[in-house]
Amino acid sequence: MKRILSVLIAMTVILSCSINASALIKDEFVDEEVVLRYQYATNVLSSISISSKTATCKSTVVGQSGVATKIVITQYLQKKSGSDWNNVQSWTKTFNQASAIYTNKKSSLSSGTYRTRTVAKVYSGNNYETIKQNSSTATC
Amino acid sequence: MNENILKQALLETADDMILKQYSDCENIDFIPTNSFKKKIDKLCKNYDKVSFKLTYTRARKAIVIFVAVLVIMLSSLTVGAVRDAIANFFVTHFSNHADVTYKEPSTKSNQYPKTIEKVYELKTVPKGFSLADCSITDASADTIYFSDDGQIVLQQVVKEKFNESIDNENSIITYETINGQDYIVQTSKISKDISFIWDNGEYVFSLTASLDKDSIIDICENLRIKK
Repeated sequence: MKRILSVLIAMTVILSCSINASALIKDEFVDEEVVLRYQYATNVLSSISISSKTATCKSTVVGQSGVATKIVITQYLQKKSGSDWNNVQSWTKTFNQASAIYTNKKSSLSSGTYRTRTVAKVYSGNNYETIKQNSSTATC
Repeated sequence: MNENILKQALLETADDMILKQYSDCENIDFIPTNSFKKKIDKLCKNYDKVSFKLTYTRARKAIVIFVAVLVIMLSSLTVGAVRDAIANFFVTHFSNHADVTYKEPSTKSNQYPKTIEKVYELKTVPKGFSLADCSITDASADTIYFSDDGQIVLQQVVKEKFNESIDNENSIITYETINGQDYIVQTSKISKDISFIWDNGEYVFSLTASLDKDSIIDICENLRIKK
């Protein structure tokens, strides 16, 4: 009886160490709930570069070929304030194709830390999914 | 036969003699010795201890099992996403996507371009594909080609700026070394697209194409600097 209980407890501990803890979604977004789905999109990349007080924001959204039919990209230039990120400027454009590159610039920036936030609606017919992704940060 | 009868007679007679001599047990004057008393006391104490162990062990086992279950529950709640360190990349897996970021090797700090100083392009554009869009910034250079039923998307990114979210729900992510180059390979389960991510020493590249794997590898290995 003792041996059986010992084996059961040992198996329980081993199983607990091998659980793939992928249930949690990393919450990087502070202003709304994260809903991430990748049914129509393959990958998303946001980038930012700042030079001479001008920020260049880029969002590249790659949809599944033969599946994605349209992408609506809303791009936010955000500035860090404490632990929050505030929108400085936003742009939106619709691309009637499977993948898209969206680049925008904002000049006369005040000093601070900035990032690009990409919110992409990737459509397949009338259905769509919303993908959100942040870039690394850049300092002005 | 006479011996057997004699033995039997002796045994029967002997029992009777013993019984006659010790028949009145109440008259036996029995005084236990100190060592006997100590042994009896010790036996009594050990009996109590054994009884306590029997009951306590069951409760203790129940507590151990409860604690083990609690540890399992807490560990599954507190542990974040699973993170792999693959070659020069961190791949952080979530429930339906993975974040890929560049990991600078400690031996080569700051020995790579901080902006896009030279732009790489496809050496040969596969038949049927035509240039659809191109964007070059300090952080990245991106090019898209479309065909009637497919696409090629080439992204060249400054290492420290590379932070890509890739699908791992409808794609299979593998790590492969091909001709000495390490790749993160993302193979879609619902389209023809295959993506390769790699570090060429200067920049990080991400190439997604609706082509067979060998053709994509050929593109990866033969990028040229744009004039």
